[in-house]
Amino acid sequence: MDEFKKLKKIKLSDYEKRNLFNRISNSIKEDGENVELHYPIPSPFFRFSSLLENKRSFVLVFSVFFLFLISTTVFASFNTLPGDLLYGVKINVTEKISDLTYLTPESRAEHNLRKIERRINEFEKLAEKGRLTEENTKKIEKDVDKNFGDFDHNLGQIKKDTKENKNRLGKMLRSDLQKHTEKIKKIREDKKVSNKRALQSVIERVHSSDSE
Amino acid sequence: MNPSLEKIFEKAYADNIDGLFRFVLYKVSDKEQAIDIVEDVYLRFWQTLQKEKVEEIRAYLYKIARNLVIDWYKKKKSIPLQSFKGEESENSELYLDMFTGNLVGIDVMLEVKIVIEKIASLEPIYREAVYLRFVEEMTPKEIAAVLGESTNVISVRINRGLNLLKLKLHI
Repeated sequence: MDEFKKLKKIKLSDYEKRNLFNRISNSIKEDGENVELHYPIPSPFFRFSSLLENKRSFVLVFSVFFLFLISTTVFASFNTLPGDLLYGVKINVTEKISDLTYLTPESRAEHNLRKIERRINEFEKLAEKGRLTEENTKKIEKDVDKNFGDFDHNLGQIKKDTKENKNRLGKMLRSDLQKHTEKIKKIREDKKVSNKRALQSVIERVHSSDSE
Repeated sequence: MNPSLEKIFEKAYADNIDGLFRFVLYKVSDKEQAIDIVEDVYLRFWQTLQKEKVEEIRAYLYKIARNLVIDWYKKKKSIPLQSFKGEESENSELYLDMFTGNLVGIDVMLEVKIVIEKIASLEPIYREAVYLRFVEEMTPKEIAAVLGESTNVISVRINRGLNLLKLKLHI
């Protein structure tokens, strides 16, 4: 019965409790007791423990904590690279949720483009840090290929009357990829990198767009 | 001086001060008087600690508090002992003024007043058992120790008292 719990709200303030404790302590000393009593200071966690006694407060506290946990995890995943613990969160949660916010074929294609560039940047950062393993490269290539496919699909859905947008996006893709081509080739030439055809689809894409 | 006695005392204070104050306030309806009685409870508890080990500290504190409240009513002859003897008191209404608690808002006070009045309207044998069980969340065993009854008797009183209270609160 919640009615009983309401009664529990009747209590002395911290100040009154401390005063009463001092009164008791002084009375004991006046009786000739050589004793030093210390006011028991409640733990800072104990102060908030009452929040967990009520079902509604418990749900609220739990929800806030859960949201905090989710948001910090998502935030922490932003700058992760393949092989990091939270990289899966970045790819499978953060980016998939952000996919849902793009509604038109143009905006979706632009989003694919940004993701491709993000993957290439990750590839370059891994190479700088000497962490470019076969497994990491495969993860990146797989996502780049998927986004190339999605980009083409979204480009195909753009209506004829907005053909300008289609051309603009094509040019954007080409210029973005071209910026990275030389760097990708240099990384592949590095002795430490075993996969000499890493991100081949990016290179091929640039060549094919050059020949068009 | 045994330092562990001080720790026991300090812990007993921290763990029970809120409940004891509420329990005494519920009975005497006067905040300052309730604080004085609670002070006496802890002084007596300290004296007992010097002489013997107290096993059930919580039950012991409430038992002292209950006895001190009875003594207070006996000394205060102008107020009869209805709240312990069972007759309806003319002054049975508990006034909001008695709770000058800093943490309680007026809306909560009104709800609290209703619940207190309903509990107070129960027969005395159920009143304390219900209060100690559901407000102070004592076990039937602890209540039995406070009231000097068997655990079975207390369990029966709690069940019957709760059913009567539900009827009064229309739950």
